[in-house]
Amino acid sequence: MERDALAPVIIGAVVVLAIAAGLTITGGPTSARAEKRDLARLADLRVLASFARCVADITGSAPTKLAPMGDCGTDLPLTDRTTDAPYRYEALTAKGFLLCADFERPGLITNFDIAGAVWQHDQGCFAFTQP
Amino acid sequence: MRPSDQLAEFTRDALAAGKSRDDIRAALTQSGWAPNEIAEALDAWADISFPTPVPRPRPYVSAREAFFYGIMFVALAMTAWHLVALLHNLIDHWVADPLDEYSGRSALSSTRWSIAALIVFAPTFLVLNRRTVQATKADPGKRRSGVRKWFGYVTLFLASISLLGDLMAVIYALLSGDLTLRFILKALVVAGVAGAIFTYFRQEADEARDGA
Repeated sequence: MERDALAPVIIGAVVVLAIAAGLTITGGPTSARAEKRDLARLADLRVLASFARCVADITGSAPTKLAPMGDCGTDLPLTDRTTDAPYRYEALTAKGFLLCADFERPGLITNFDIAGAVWQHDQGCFAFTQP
Repeated sequence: MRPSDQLAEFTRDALAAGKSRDDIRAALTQSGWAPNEIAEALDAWADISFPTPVPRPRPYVSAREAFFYGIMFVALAMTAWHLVALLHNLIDHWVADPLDEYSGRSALSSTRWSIAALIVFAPTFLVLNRRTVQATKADPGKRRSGVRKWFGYVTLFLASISLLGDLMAVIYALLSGDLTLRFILKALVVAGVAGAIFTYFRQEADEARDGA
């Protein structure tokens, strides 16, 4: 095969292989949608964490359960907007608490997703233990 | 009249008057023209036996080709860039480096961009390149396209810069203690893609020069 015919075949083959390998990592449109749902859950957990910290600052201890409180916010995202499953909350210490959700791609979540929290991969929870 | 036009007119008149090329060259040299200017002026006329000077075909510029080659070379640049980016992301995924922070979602996002770019631009480049090859085979005069030459040389320039930059990055990584397997593979990817473009378009440029 001459160069004019061989080069495009090689380029095409490399590109197709790279795209196929890339798709095995990214997972296609369904996985991408699951990531978007996880991002929405993370946004909700940030709101709930901010609420719990506010309550802890005002009252001196983390709330025992998540219930709207005037000074810290009344419009709380208490359930997962895609599945309607409630987010799980648990007070740990005086000001420490745990916030959990059913993440679909937990492997992509890190400590950096919610400031000041520790990601517990196995439980799907963020632990807030820093004062 | 521009000096180059004066030179072209003089050369044609001198050839028409039956002066030999050596005489014309000597006269122009005496008048202060540079050897490459003289050679170009003489090369514009075929060295054949005919009563009047016969022009050689010259490079031409066409707006249609500027559009066509513009799209083709942009498609090539996007294909090369995103192929390198995608392969780098694959290397990051497959070859772990314990000293690197996991980039997670941002890596997936850039991988998706590269896949999208390749799905659009790689077939565009391949189809346009195929059309170019076919058109050049049917009409070798197309090799004289000035636009094609310019884009070809710009591509060669960018590929050369990539290779030199790659070499620089390898040396820097060596000096900074980052010469890991992951880095070596990435450098090889850049060198491979830039080298392939360099080889391919150097041949194109050679053919274009032969065709001029």
